[in-house]
Amino acid sequence: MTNNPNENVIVRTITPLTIRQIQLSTESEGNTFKIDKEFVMNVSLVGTVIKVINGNTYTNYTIDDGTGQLKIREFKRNKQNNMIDQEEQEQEQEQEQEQEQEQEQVNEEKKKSEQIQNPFENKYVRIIGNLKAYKKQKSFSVNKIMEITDSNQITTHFLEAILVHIQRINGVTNQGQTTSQESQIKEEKIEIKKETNKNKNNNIITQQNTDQILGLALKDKALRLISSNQTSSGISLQELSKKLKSTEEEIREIVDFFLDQGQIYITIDDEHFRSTD
Amino acid sequence: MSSATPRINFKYLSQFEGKTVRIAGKVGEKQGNNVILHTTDNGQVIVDRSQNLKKSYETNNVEVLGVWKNNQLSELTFFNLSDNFDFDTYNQMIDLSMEHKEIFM
Repeated sequence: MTNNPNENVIVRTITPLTIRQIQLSTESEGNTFKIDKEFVMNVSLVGTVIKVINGNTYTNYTIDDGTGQLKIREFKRNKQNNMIDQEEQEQEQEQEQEQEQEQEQVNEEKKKSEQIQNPFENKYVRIIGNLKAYKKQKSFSVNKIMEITDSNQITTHFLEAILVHIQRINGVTNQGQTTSQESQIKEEKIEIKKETNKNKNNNIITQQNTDQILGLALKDKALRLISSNQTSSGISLQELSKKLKSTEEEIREIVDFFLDQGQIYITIDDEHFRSTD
Repeated sequence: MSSATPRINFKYLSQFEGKTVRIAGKVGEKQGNNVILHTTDNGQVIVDRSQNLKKSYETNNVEVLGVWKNNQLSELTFFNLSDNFDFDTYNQMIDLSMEHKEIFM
């Protein structure tokens, strides 16, 4: 990983992916992976749980999202609710590997006779986790796994994955400019579809995620427009509202945020702004 | 070899003859071991449930995973979907996934 602060920010964000993208990812420095030429560590997935294996310190899930299958691991927490120490986990892992097959057989028989079932089995789930290298293999460690109760989250997740993929393959610059008009139109289409999906989706988590992504995208665009304006009077609230196809109230909230952050300043009146950069 | 089971709707069926696919829709009438699935893009698909009869659909909307062959979907498994599932946006997502097959198949 380089010292470029922008790359560090990208690695820390949660990237919506498909399992196919994870399968195609290439290992990079620092045990991270690159997808679409960008470092990726924190990942969100949506898929169905097709297999569960319970260990003493972890639970293994096999997830299928329609693009491929992936084995993921959720480490259990100890009595202090701390993640069990990584080294301790790895040692236990090696010891338990021999017992795993036998345990799997026992579990299968038990499941058939007693109908014991993990609550996520055969259900759609959303997973937040870390993709890293472990013994030169891709390892996915789960931070959070949640059952999806509003199926529109499935649609939203794949729309987000497509959007991020398009942005990255089209070489979105640090200023967020896309390199072709066609891909810009496509991105806007996806954002509109996400808005539509957002309006029909009652689930709070999906709503928050979608709002967050759209809000960040709009703020980012607003800052770029303000920064790119080189006139002494700066860019007006009305112009921002027109270019970003948002209401003046929404733009006012965004510029107030940037004013508080010190990233922009007022010029001829409180409706004209310039970047402090 | 890809283990993808792509999400498709009625209009893409002809491209996936003999393949394992996922089709979502509203559960329609039963006809013996078969069920009519009204797909998200207003198509109708006959679902052969004979391999999975022990489990019943629990919701009005389902996603059926099965093999599409000879104008029939042989169900392998299914997933219940919520009643507020938005068909229009789902169809648009499928269209986009077909334009970006590189991350789906």
